[in-house]
Amino acid sequence: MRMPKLLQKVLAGVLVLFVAVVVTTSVISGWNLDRLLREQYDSKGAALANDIAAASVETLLNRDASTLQSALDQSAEIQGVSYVFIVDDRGQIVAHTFVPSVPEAVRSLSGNRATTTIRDVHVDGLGDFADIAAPILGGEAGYVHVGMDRAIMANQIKSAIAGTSLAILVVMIALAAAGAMVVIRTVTRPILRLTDVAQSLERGDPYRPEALAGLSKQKDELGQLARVFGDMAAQVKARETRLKQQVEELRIEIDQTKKAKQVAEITESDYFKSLRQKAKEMRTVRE
Amino acid sequence: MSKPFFPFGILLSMLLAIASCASPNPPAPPIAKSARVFSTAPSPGDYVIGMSAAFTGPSAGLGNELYRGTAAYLEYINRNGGVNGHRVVVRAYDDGYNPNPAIDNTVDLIQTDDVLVLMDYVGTPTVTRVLPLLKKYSDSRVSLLFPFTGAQPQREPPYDEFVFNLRASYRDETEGLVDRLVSAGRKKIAVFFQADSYGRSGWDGVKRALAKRGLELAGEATYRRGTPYSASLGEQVNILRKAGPDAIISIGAYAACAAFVRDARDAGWDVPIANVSFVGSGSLLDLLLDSGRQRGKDYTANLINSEVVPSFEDASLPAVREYRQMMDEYEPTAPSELTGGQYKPLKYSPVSLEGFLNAKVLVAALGRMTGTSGREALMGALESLDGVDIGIGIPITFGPRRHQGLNAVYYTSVENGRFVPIRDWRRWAK
Repeated sequence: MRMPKLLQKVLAGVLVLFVAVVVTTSVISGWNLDRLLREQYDSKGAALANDIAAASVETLLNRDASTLQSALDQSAEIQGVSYVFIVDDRGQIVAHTFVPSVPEAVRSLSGNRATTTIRDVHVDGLGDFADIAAPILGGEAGYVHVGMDRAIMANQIKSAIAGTSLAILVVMIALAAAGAMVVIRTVTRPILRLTDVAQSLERGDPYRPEALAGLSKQKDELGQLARVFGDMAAQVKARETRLKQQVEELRIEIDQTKKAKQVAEITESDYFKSLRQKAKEMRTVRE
Repeated sequence: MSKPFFPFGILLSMLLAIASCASPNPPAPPIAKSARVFSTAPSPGDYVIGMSAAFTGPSAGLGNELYRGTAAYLEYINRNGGVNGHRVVVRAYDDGYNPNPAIDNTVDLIQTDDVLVLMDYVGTPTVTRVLPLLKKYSDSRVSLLFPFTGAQPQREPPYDEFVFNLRASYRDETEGLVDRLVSAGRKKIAVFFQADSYGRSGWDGVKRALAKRGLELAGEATYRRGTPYSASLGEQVNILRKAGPDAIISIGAYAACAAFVRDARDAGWDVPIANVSFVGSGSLLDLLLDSGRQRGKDYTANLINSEVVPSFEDASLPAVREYRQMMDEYEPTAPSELTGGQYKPLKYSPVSLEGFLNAKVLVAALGRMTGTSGREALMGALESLDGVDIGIGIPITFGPRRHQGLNAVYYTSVENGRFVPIRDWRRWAK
């Protein structure tokens, strides 16, 4: 099946539009997702930090650091949590989940005695984090820091948006392809048929009304076009026939005039006149 | 359509581009639930001991050697009529030194296998996570005997009542190491430790020991649990070297600790490096000797080890003589279904000696069970052990308020490719 140029253009335009729509939606939903995820991750991290802070009081004051470490290790397994560490009342890190060592960028982070604080931290070689600091015993016993990975968030947003965009695009392409098929069937094909018939007329082939028989029965504009085209072809045919006849008649007329003229030319000639004079004289002499 | 038209080409490439950024990081594979293998099929009337340990992975040497030592002594007992006519068998599961499988294994051992007692667990991160389970099952009176870890949680309330410890604690080991190193003039001590509760336990011990002497940690660096020997630990070496310590105490597993020693020595740093008992000095030495042979280099100089059992070279101890004889005679191995057939056993090692001593104390307690032979009776029997001689020159005593059997720490270093007791610390004097 041929894909007419006009249809190609229309479809290309539609697809460009689709892509523009998808990109716009992606950007907007990306922005929204980022905001929502940030909020969600931050509140998840804050809840975790507060939990650990509440649970650590007794451990921090009474037990060895391995019990604390065990709790941190479990917390660090939670999705999105990159690191957890506890700073004691003397500002010393008594348990952490870093390998191979605590980065300087987080070592210097402080907390607020009254409330859980959230701030963005960049650690060279590790990435970007939201550092959430919760006070233990109002800061008297130290602080819990939970690092939520911003990269995981970004990846989630990316994959979510890419997933949606992909789905939208696939659906749109399917729709566009289906639309193209329908358009080809209902619009383009009759036009092509008409074009073919017109071309055959152009070549001077005889017009065969049956070539457009089915199409002419359609009740839409295309049917009307086909009917008008059929009428037009018929009229053109009739006019042609009439013209041919007129030409024929004219030719006969011209032939008679020509003959008369030739006769006149002969009869008007001096020779013929003298001949006629001689004949007349001969008839007169015999009398 | 006979003629492809252009937007599809463009779209295809766009789709591919989107798809490529759509693929998120592959999710971390879940830790496989360990193979569930019975080491010995028990028959009715057997005393069944439940064990969960690392039989595979970078710490496979610990589970395997501990099992072998215990199996050697139990084999001897079973061949000689068992304990009061009962065979003693071990049901062992592999946890690969990971907490979650260890928890699953423990639940199965208690609920499904209905074992008499748990014994020979390996590791701090695993045992500290199992402890709350024991508390949860406190009605069923199941206790954990002689875990292969020196961490504090099972030595302190609320969990100490469910656990009997034979070996000295990491606090004992680190205190001893710090004491001897500082006495030798090495006051700047740094810690290389596993980033988990085990490493932290040792870090805590070193810190406490230093604080007692008015000192602070000179530096610290961590590594991730499960780090293989093939990994580079150069970064950790650099971090610690910058701190300029006089000595390093390593709290880790043998693969990573051996890699750390290798990388430090390759960097031309000959600082004394001390490891604690959990490292499995036999497996550590094996790796370093192997690398040494391959590269024509000595990686065993300036290595110090603290151990919680006597040297297996010390044939003056009856238990060591028995151990060597039974290991030679029975050549016990963990079932290949458990190890994957990959493990190459060590002839003797402190770890298998510890497993052997664990079994001796267990059998001593089993023999004392009176009346019913249930879990509670065993606990009572253990708590009644008073000054029992297991052949190491130190009597074993447990009691209702005393669940710690030994506090002795032994120190060794490598001479001629084997660990031998340190007699004189002055060689490390500074």
